Amino acid sequence: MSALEAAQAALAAEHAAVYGYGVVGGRIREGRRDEARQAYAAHRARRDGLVRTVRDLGGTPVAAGAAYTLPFAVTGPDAAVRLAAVLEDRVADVYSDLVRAAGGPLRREAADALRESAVRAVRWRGGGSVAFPGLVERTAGKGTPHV
Amino acid sequence: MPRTGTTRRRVLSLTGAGLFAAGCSAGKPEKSVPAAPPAPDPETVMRNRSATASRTLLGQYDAVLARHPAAAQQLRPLREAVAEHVKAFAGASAAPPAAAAVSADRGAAVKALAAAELRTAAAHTASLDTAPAELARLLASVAAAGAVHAYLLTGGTDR
Repeated sequence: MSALEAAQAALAAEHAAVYGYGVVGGRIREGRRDEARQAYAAHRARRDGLVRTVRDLGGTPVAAGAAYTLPFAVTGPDAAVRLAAVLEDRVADVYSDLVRAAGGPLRREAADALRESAVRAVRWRGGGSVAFPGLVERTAGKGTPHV
Repeated sequence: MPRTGTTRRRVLSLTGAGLFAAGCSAGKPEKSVPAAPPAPDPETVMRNRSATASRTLLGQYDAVLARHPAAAQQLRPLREAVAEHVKAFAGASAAPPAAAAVSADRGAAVKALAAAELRTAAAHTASLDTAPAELARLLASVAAAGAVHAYLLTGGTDR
């Protein structure tokens, strides 16, 4: 996977996260609304950064989908929290690929984004960390906190 | 008499030459055997260094667990994750180095662990620039796990 391909995949995941947090924001309970708002803003910032990165790498940034299929129905505050955690997991997965594909400052940024997503995922879940955030092949089937 | 002397000198010099030759022949294989170590695989060096960093952290967990058994429920899962990190970096398991003194106060000891997690994560992050692709991915993940652990150790659980 080239750096450009990995950056496009990360951008697509951030588009989905921004969409997903829109859903989360509509269902989350009051006490965690600020947290959701901050995460939403963080993903928008990452998305905008990746648009620039893709252009810098000579690509045409992938566009956001008109709508996304959610992994489960988000009918209430609990499901909203679970969705937020899943969004962070997915973003972490693509950033680990970007770390591998990129070098220099882009690799560092991807590592920062991976770290932030890993911490947010655990915060949403209220604990239950995994040994290797973002590494699907090491977490699959190892009793990871599934949603 | 003088003949004896000459003979002895010759013997001595021969012995010396013999020794010298022996030294040479002994040195030859020595010269070609270390030819592997002098140029160690840079990735192996990095992996060992990262394993050492995580192993040091593991030793700190063990020291805190020994001093504060009541903290086991909180610390055990994190300690196991760090053990996984060591294995992922190096495969082989050496004994963790002796940890620094542990505070008698559980809260302070856990706080020190959180700081150690962040230090270790920073070391892994610093290795990112020079790491080959696949190792970089692992380093970033382990550094992220360290940040998560520090978050959990500093009250992230009692939300």
